[in-house]
Amino acid sequence: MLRLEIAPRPNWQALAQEFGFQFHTMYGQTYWDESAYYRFTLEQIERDLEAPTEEIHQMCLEVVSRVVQDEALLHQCAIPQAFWQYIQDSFQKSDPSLYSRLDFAYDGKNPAKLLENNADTPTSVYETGFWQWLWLETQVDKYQLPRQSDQFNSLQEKLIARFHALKQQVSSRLHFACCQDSIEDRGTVQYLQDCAEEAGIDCDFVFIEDIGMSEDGLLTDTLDMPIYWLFKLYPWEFIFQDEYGQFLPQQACVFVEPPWKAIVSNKALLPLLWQMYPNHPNLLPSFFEKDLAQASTIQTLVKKPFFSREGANISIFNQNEAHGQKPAPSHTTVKSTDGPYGEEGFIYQAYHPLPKFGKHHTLIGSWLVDGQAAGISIREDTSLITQDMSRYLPHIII
Amino acid sequence: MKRSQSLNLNRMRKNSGSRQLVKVTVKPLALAALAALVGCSQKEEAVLVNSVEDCLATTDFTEDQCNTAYQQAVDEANRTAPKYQDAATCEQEFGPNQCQRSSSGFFMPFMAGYLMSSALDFNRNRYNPVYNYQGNGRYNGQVMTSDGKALGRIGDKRLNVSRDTLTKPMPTVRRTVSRGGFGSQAAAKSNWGSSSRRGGWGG
Repeated sequence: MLRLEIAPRPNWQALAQEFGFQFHTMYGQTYWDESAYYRFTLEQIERDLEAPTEEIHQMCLEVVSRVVQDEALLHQCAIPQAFWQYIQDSFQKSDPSLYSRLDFAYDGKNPAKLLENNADTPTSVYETGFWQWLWLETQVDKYQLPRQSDQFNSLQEKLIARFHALKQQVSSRLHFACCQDSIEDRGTVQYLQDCAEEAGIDCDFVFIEDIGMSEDGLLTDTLDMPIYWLFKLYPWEFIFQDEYGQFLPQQACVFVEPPWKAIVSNKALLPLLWQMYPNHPNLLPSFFEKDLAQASTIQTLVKKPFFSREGANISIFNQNEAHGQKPAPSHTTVKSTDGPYGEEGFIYQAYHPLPKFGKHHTLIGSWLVDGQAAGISIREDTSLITQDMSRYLPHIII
Repeated sequence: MKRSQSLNLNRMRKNSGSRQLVKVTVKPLALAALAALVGCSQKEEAVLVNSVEDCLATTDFTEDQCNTAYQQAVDEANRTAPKYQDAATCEQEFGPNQCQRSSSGFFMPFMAGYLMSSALDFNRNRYNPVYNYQGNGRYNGQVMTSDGKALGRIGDKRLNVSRDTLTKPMPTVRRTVSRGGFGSQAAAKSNWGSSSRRGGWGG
């Protein structure tokens, strides 16, 4: 695994315009960065990322099957009681999932360590499935990269195949929804809609805020057409708190991602995985606050809210002599971010620094379509905590 | 090869004029109303068939055409059949054991048949499903289309129906009584902090 510099394609901004990639630069900062790329060997990809990704997914399903049967665990995951049965039903019926992204710390040598599972509303799917694929094709065509260069990225192909399979299970129109005022989310949802349409599904779009409810209790779009099948780039934990949330258990609307993903995307998954698969080479020791005594020998911990997104409200701190005590402000905080999350509680994970390539901290996102590993995305940040403005870099296999 | 072999670049292009980021959709109800104004007086003869075999026996359509029309009617039924939250309400209208659970979880009546008409261009027109109302509801004994239009009595075979009934997509429009029940959490979270940047809700 190497970080190598390369000349950006002279026409890449025009290409981005042509293909509607509108968020390559956001708030005056570079997001898509093709001044460098990462190079992997096939063995690194297959042994260290592809295989663990599929294995961890199966382990996560085991955790979910345990949590849905255990009210204490549902409570511990901060899932409101009104939705326990709903989530349990959705898992027992095997409500189909579309995709997830596992985030790993991986340096090319040691086992990749799972940092978290973005199983409900993963983004950067367009940059991965399409845009970095196009980057490789065009760089190879221009002899900037060797002809035999490959990429771990069958994401778009697998998404289309998955939509094809879902079409056989759900025969309704598929509505896509995201919140207003985010060009990034709108682009992400449009991309998934393109994939669904490529699979022959009839699609519509509606903003989350514009969804209505009919007198017979169905969700409706702005044309008053009922929504029977909804892809929502909007987290389940928000839905649970929203006004319409309470009506969903009586609804027959099929959601993508399904309700049981509320458990997989929850950071409570991390200590539960560690309890069920202790010392697994791809897991980091993780604990609920009540079990923090077990973490007394771990020098540095990362504190994460159950429902944090894009690196918000995360702190890294060193434990002092008061081993096993609840961390107090007196503990040395190495690095922290602020944000709107944390009311529902925190988990603690052994600190495992992101590998550094030059001055860049590098994070690997490993994609799953249903249960199959489908490619990787790479984010770089000069900070220890990867946030939403971390730059996206392409990669190759050679 | 670990990457997608080929991708449809044409679908991915966004500035060609034909595909824009936000698609404009025509409101189907308005279309239907317009069609009703201009075309409601025209009647066509149609045959109500209840299977591909019945279609072959009672019409001049080929086996391929009967099959295609059947499949189209089934798809249309899945999309537009009247749907109910529970089996009892559905059976009240359609009779005991006359309802099935749809893939999206609603209860809907079995398709009783579909309409074939030689007055239509086979390649351009749709073949709409019909349902038998055999329950204790007020429509008892009638055959209706997805949009609740009565065509005749159960058992009627040859029907004179408006051209619209044969050709127009069935609206399944609802009366929306409230909006905005989603999104309050996103609004609450995005008010946090002083930063002017507003990220999405993915991660």
